[in-house]
Amino acid sequence: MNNFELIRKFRPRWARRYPVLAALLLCAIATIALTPVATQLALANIAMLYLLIVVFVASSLGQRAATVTCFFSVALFDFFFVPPRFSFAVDDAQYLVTFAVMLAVALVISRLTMGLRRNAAQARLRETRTLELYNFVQVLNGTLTEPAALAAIRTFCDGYFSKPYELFMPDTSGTLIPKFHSGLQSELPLHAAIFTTYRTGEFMHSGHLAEEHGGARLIALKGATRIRGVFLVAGAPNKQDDLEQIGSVIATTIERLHFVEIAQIAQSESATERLRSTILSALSHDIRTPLTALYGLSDTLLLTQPTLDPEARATLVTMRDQALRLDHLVSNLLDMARLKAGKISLRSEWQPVEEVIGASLLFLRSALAAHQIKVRLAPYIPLLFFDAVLMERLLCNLLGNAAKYAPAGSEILLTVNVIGDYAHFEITNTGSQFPSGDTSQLFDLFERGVEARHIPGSGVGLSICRAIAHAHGGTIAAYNTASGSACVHFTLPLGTPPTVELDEQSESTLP
Amino acid sequence: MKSPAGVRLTVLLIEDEAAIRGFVRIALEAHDYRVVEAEILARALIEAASCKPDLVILDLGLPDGDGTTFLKSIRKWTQIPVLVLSARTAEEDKIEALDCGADDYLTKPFSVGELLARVRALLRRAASHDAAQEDIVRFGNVEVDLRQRVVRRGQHPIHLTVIEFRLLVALIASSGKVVTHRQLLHAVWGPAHSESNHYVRVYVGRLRQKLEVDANQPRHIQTEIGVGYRFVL
Repeated sequence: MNNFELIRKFRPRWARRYPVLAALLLCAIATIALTPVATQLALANIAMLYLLIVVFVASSLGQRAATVTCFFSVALFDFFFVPPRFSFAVDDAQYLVTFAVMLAVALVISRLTMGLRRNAAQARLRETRTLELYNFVQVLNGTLTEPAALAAIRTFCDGYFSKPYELFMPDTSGTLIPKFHSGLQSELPLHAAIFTTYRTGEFMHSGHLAEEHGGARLIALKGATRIRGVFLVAGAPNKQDDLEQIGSVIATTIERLHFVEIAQIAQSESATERLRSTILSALSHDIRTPLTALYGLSDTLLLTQPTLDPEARATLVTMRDQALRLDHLVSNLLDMARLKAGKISLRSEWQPVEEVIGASLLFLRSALAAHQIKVRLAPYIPLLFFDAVLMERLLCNLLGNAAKYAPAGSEILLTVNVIGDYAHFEITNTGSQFPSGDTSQLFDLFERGVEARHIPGSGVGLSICRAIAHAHGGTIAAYNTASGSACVHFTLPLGTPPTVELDEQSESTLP
Repeated sequence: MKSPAGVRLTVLLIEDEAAIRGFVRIALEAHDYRVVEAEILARALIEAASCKPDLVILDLGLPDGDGTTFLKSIRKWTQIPVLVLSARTAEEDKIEALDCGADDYLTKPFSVGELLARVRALLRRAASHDAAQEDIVRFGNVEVDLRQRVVRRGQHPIHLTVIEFRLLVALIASSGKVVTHRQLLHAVWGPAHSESNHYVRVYVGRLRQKLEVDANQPRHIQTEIGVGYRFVL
């Protein structure tokens, strides 16, 4: 507790209300108290006592009371104590100098005391504000979620600012959203100013904004990486509050929460990803094992000696084929699940396209046996960067589809050309067409052409083809050619293939 | 099936799924093989040493360990053929198994016909390994004289580069089994090779152009997609 507070403790409530009256009363009491003993005291000591009263009034009752006390105490001194007593007349003209000096000293002392008092009050205010800010930082640092942080900010600001305030933060689309619903953002020019502050990061004050509050101050919440939002306080510029510091504390907190959130998302995503791949491989194993047994057992029965009767054999063949179809469906769905997860790691390598085409045709040789297969490759196709297993799946699905929908004996044509930055693949089958209308729907999961309902299929194959093409940075489309054939066209980006140093040294001894 | 000496050949079947073991055993026994079964890795290692199998059929996913552990262990003392059973999507596992010394693989689900064909091919390959290596190899209308280093297609000599010839020799040596890109790089470019898989692919493509009737639908140098190649005589 400092001296000023000590003095203020002796100040009754009415004195605070009527400080001038209190000052006059104080002077009067002092005069009455001194009058009986005036003959025993030197005049100089009496003047000193009046100066003491000036100091007391200045430190406790304010400037106006202090000034009045200066003049009043000089008048009282003259009237009651300077001979001739009880008159304003003076015996000796020297006393006029005494009065002048006394008045000047009283005024100077009151001024100095007032200044000291003001400084002390400011220091005290600053101290409380700093303490509040410090507590605010402590509370904010303990928050782990945005709602908790907003609640802490709100509690602090309600006590700190007397005027309305608002915090704006961008949502995922970048629109600034008011978090406290103060109603301040409803004014249109204010909205523009908020956005400018958010963009430029500059401190702004405008008297035009929030006019009924005498303007508004806008401060950008600058995080270490970018601007995290805008803080707005209504009212005129005010040096006494630490708006900059408050802004930076809020910005730091928002940024910290942002990174906490990112870390949590990453953690949960990797856990989800692990779970997904565990489930997928468990499913894959658990479904495939009985399928393998079913397929193998029906196959074993077909090969037993002596041979079964034709009807039983036909049933077994159907059983075996159904098991195989189920396996294709499961493979497709599992691949789809992996591709849809969006995080598939392609095992891409640079390779000639002939290889995967040859492997696909070999894999499908029984399904394609009834058709004429023609492969036309451009004379020079560079190495392409793709995942061979997925590309084989893509080609097999498209070639298998072509064989399924085109009548037996018709021609299936596979062409590869290089145009621009892409290798263009086309699989055309004469004798069947896509339904008219939007063919891109055919690539949606479980979507099948209307005319295809009588042909067994699941509608998964083409959507996997699209997922594979997109995963490689390519496109895929289906259309009917002018000559009335169904065609699926897909592309793969060319990229920059690595060079292969070819040796030309002859090994053969013959020319 | 009997060995040339007339003894029944023994197959060690390592598979934890009883249903799959069941039909594989029926199929093999119907073709006169003796079948010894093992459900777990520990049992398999004992049987491999005690029953002296002529061929091993190995499922890669075993309850008490990875099939590759078994491969690494037996390859220390025997070169008997090993046929691996694996799921379709597990290309890495297949490559690892082949690099660890497996000879061939079958993707589940597989037909009995495929299984028997693979078993026969591997046994034939093992038997011919014991016999003297022939100097002249023929496939399709191609004739390769390994000693003279001459390749003919029909009546016409075919010009091969040094690398192409080495690759062809490596493929012929691996006929009847699957060979990975890494194994071919090792065999053709040497143990210190710095080339990547696409070198193998490019040279295989050149060999196909020179030796296959239709390079886009090769009959002899077949691609095992995502894994490597299979040379079929």
